[in-house]
Amino acid sequence: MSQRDTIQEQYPYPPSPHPGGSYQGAYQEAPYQDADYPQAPYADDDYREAFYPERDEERPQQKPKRRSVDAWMAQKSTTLPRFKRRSIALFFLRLPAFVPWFFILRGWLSLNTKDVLTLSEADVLGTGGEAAFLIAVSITPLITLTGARWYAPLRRWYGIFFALIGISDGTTAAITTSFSGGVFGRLAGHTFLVTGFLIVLIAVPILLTANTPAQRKLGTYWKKLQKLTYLLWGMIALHLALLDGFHPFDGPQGDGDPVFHQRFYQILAISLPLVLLRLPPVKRWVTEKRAAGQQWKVWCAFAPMAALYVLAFAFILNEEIFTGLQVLRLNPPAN
Amino acid sequence: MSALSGAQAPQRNITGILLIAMGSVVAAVLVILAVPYYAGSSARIASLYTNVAGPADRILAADIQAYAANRLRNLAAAKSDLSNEVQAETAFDNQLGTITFPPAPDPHADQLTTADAKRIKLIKLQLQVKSLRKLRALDSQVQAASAAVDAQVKIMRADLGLPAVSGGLY
Repeated sequence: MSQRDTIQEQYPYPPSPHPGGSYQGAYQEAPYQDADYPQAPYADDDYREAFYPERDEERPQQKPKRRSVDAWMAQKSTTLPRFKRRSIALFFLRLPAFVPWFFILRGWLSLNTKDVLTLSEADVLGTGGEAAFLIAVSITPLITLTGARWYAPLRRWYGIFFALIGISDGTTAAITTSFSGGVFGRLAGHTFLVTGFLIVLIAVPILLTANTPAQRKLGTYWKKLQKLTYLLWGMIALHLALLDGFHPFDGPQGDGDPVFHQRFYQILAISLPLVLLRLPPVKRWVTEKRAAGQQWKVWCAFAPMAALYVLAFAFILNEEIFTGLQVLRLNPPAN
Repeated sequence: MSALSGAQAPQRNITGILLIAMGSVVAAVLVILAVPYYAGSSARIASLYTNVAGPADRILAADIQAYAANRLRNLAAAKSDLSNEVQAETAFDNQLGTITFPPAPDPHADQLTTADAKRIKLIKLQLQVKSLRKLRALDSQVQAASAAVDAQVKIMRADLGLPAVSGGLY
């Protein structure tokens, strides 16, 4: 008896009527789970559909013994019964995306009083954009790590805000910074400026297609286009390497922690767990352990990387808040 | 077929855990190194302060010494010495402003800059007088302002864990 015969005997389903379709010897309860993109339009708040469906390997095959975080978050809030817990949590988690604009707003409205934009706009908007990007690319690894998906819409949200903050950064820099050579010089007068400008240019098509109609229209090409995010990631790291170099800061200024404030080091530290958690063997290991009810092993294994991630992110936020408050008070640091 | 899958599965798992182990070891080493590094930040801040204060003290000591000699007989030279003092003190204040102090010494750094600004203002008044007698008449006020600066420097150095200043102003 051939292998094919064996399969047919075990799975005696008729051939698929769809072109190219086949049961492959396994019956699927939800045939769309493996689709490359959601078939139905989705609202951002609907995490199940907004989230890019992961492969089966990411979904635990065993039934969870206790109620999942997702199920709890999908329930109506007890304090605000009109809203689901997830919607309330997402609302508050989305607010930090506005922080860079909040900090820079006074500089814009005062038309660069005291050269506040000339001296600090890149620190506030650049750092803010970087933080938004890193949050966006942190969502998928976090889903892999925890199995919870209720915060998946934050990926799109912070991705969009990364692009918008980047565009506002580029526009403000083109008008206010002190690099010679006019608008072109301010945008591309140095190598780090060129990479920054390219980041904004690459972000534009991703931003324009970060919506459901574009996703539906582009079909499988949508995912390929969105993979430009990885190019952006590399470009941001290069931009920071060209900006800060490979060595810790030196000179008679700072707060005594020059290594922690080195932006290239920060992005490397943050990228380490994020890249690892995108590698198929690592994802598989995490999912297997989670499915086997050994989530604690996952936490233990990733604890040092999580600590490094938090440490690096804390200094990015430190710079954003510290410089942002100085700009807000129209008291920019002397460069 | 199933035997092959069975053989491959543990191999893939090993790859996964190996990658995680490598990442975690690197991260753990970096975090462990970060702890003593972070603990040493107060020493680095103190070093930043002395890097600014040291050169300013050397310049000021020479200017003050020259002024002490010229204030009795040469108005132009005395004014030149005072002008150099103003420059050195202003440079010190500007450099002090680029250091981000921890919460404890931060207000004292501001107070030091304020006290210094008062002293600079008085010295600038001295620069406007037209006789040695009037120049010397303002000396007592400048000395009082210097005492205020000294007091702030004392607090500042104590905050930073530095020994009390000996010889210099800062």
